[in-house]
Amino acid sequence: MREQTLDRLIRLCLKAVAAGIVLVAIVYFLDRPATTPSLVDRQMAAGEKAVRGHPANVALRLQLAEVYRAAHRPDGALEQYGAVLKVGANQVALLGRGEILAEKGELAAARQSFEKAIGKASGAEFARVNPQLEGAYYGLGSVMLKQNQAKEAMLQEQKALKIEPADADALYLMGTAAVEAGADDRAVKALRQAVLFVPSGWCEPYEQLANAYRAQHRQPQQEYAGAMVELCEKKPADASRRLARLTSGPAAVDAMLGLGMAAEAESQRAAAAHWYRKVLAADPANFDARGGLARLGVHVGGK
Amino acid sequence: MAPGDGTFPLGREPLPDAGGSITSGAADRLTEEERKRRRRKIAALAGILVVLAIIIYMIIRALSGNSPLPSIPSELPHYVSDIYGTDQPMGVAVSPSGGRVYVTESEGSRLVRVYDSSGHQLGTLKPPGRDEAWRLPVYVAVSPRTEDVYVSDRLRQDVDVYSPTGKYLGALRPTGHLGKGAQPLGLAFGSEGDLYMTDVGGPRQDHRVLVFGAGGKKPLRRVGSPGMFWFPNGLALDGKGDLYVADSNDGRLEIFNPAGKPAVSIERGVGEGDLGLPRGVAIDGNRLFVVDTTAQVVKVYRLPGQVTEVPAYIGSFGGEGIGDGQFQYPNGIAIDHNGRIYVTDRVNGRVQVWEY
Repeated sequence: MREQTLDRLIRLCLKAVAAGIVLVAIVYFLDRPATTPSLVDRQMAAGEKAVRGHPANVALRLQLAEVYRAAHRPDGALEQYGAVLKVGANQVALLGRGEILAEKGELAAARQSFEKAIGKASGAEFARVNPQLEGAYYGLGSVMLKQNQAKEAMLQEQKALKIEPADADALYLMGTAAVEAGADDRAVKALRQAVLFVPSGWCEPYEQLANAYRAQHRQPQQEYAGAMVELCEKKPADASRRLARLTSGPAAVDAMLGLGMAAEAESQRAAAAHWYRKVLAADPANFDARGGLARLGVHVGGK
Repeated sequence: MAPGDGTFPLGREPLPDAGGSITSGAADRLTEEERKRRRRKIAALAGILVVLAIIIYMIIRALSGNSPLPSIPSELPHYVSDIYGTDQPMGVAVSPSGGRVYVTESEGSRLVRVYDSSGHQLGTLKPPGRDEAWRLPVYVAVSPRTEDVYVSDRLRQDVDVYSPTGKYLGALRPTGHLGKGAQPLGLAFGSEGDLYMTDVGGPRQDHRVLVFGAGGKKPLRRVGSPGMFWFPNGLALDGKGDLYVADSNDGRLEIFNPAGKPAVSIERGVGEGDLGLPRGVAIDGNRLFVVDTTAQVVKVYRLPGQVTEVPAYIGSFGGEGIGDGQFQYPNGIAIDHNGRIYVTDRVNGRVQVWEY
């Protein structure tokens, strides 16, 4: 082939490549789904528009603050809470402000916000059933624990639990504070209740439970709690090996329950049902075992 | 023409040596240089031709309805975008060409909204003579033969049929011994245009799958023994004719061979790949997708060669929330010919688009 022809061919092919790239790019971009603003952006835009239209409307500002929090824009939320608090001591705003400040590590300011929220609501008519007051006690206890005031934190969590006894977060915080305060019996009681409400997928209560049992020198129970941490960390086989060694002795019922949960986590339905039945044979009222059998579709008689 | 000016030297004239005359040694050297240059040009041409071939391949792919860019092999898809405008969407289906996406709306105007593949609304479908208080479209499927659109209505207990242009063609109310009293829910088509419908009429004993011949109103057969299902929802068929049914309230996925005999199932549980409340089901090649509404995810399985084996769990995508790629009670699922996945994100009021 003559060199001149070769050059011409190269030029022609390069032009074809360039045209092809443009064509493919056009087809590719025409084929793309339209880009739309995200749901959070839409809600934020709507909320901002509403607040601009009605700047004195407290409810709209609180709604916008919630959207900002969902969008991980705490400063925007703080701004809205601040605007609301200029009008008056709004409990929702005080609670939200306290939560954000606590997350940002501004503990003194957070504490002040929670205390104001408590001061406003604690003597009111519905104080014993007020979820915002419960949240404020919980938040204040959480801040106190971070400030190494474990005993004071326990007191706040106790108040939160009086309003909402089934608050697993408050139970966990109570247990954690009790471990730090050296009140091991109270720690075990609170943490066992916490894992009763949330038995799987939440590792921290089991970790603290192991700490509390260690402080009490209850080795089998500590081993059980440690195994449950492994189960929580998606290591059911390791957890089962540890739990299988505990099926007689003081941690037997807990261990058998853990074995049932581990079997469930490995989709071994028959084995799970076997362990739950064994739990019920030893403790006929065991709530978790009954729940486990119900999940497996196994009928359980009695109440 | 000079080297480095962006053009190619023609290279025909021999280059003079320093003294201006041509010696035989210099001539040999020039010939060698010429050969080298020519070899480089041929190599360059070959490279350009390879690139050109790839581009032509991509254009052919695009013209034949596939994505121009071959997807990078991946086990799970990634989030692409959302389609807004449907109030509490439940069911979703895509036309065989991929150009139309049909979404049922369970609140508000209770319409079937029609979008193009870019998410622009093209129109709506609704049965004539009834306002939204009297209709509740739930699941939707598109006939692969006629491209007619079939929509199950939970309130009216029938299936509304529309032409590809949106014209209302009538209601399919199952007749005959098998069809009497049926309450249609999930819909899917076999490759021959036969319609599969989950029926949730009456007590649990009567919940089942009904199979209709193309265009027929009288069920040809039922799938599932009495009491086997409890509110079966979505269903799908693979290329071999195996049937996959989301047995929702039992929390499992039942798989049947083409003869309608139960083969295997994916069970309810908390283990990896176990189900909670399965609703929508879709199949793309050897991948099975199941929307697990209460887990707020879509679970993905690899289909085995034999229907007697349980599909292998690959993983899930989604998670609870209002952010991009997060769900609040997802329900329906459909996959277009490009492998683009549409999932109705009911409480968030959107249809999410995912791709490989």
